[in-house]
Parts: sequence; structure tokens; C-alpha cells
Amino acid sequence: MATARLLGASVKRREDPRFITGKGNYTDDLKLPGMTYAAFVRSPHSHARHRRDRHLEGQGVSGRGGRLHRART
Amino acid sequence: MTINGVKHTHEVEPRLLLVHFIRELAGLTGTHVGCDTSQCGACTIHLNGQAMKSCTMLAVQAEGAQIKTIEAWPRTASSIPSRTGSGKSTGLQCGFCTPGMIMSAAQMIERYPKPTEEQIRHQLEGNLCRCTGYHNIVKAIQYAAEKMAGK
Repeated sequence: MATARLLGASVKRREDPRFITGKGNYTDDLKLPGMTYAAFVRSPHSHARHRRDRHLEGQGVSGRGGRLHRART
Repeated sequence: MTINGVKHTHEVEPRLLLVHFIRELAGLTGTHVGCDTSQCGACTIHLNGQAMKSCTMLAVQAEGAQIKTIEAWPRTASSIPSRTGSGKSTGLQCGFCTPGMIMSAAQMIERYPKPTEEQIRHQLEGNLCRCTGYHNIVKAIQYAAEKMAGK
């Protein structure tokens, strides 16, 4: 019975070989086509209206994927 | 620069950190970015034989250097990673800090072939682990040192 071997016994970890050889593949290690970075900018003013992203304009931010806004939380 | 025996030549921005050169331009993601502030040691590599945190240095400063990362170790039972990672005591849980731990441990064992628990704890001050509480890491390094000495 499978449970008999798991309960009360030391179970060998099967994930360790990739962790100790640098092959872990964590989220930050993934590389997918068309992938971009995301940055979160929070308003420094309470109840302010959002008009434009002056901090991004004219700064040569290349390949920007797009902006998502959420008015209020 | 040469990473694990392979030459990598890229034109980079002066502000690019060495760890990002290794991860993004050389594509070796075994070296991790844990904190970006040189505290956690997940990005530890060997630069010209010296263990150091690769987020503490700019890529341009490593021009021409010999770099060794976690991927350099052979996948054999006798290599340091296998001996620190497996064996009697499991020295890892999530494994995120492990590449840095192993790079630090490798230099430690070079310097102190028979490290005491106190020496190991002192030498690991620059490597943070949020899973294990270090106890099993210390045991794993002692185990690895014994095995390396006895090979």
C-alpha cells in the first residue's frame, strides 16, 4: 500500500537535483515570447485624478506594452 | 568575460549589474536575485576564484574576469552541490538560496577543509535562507566537507 511507505517514513525529495544544479526555473527565470516588465506606480496624492503618465513621457521607455489603470480601490 | 569556461561578449549599459548580465545576457538563471541590495547572497558567484555577490558589482567592472556560477558544477554524485544538497541532512527546502549557499560553501571548504560549526555559521553570514533556519545547511556543509576530504 502506497500510504504505508509515506507515513512515518523519510521520503526522499525528488525536486532537489534541479535546485542544487541551478535548474530550478523560478518565476523570474521564465522567458516567454513577447514578455515585458511590469512596474507599479501608486499615486502620491489621495483622491487625485489620473490624467497622463508624465514620468514615462519623453524618457525613451522602449517597447512599452501598455498601461492598465484602476481608478479606485 | 568568461563564464564557466564560455566567453560572453556584450555591449552593456554602464549601470547593468553583473547578476543581470549573468541571468539575462548569458542566460544562466541558476544565479538568483533575492534582494537586489547585497544582503541575501542568492546571487553569490566566484569571480576570479573569489566568492562574491554578483549584485554588488557592475557588469563592466567584471570585464575580462573569470566567472564561475552554480551551473559550472558537474552533475555527478561527487561534486560539491550533490554533497551539500543531498546526503543525510537536507540542506534546502524551496531551493532559492541554494545556489548562493553552494557557491559560498565551495569556497569555505577550499579555505577550511574541516570547518567547525562556528566557522560555517560565521562564513554563511552573508547568505540568507528563509526556510531552513540554517541548522540543516550547516550540517549539510559539514557532511560535504567530510566527503570531500575523504574522496
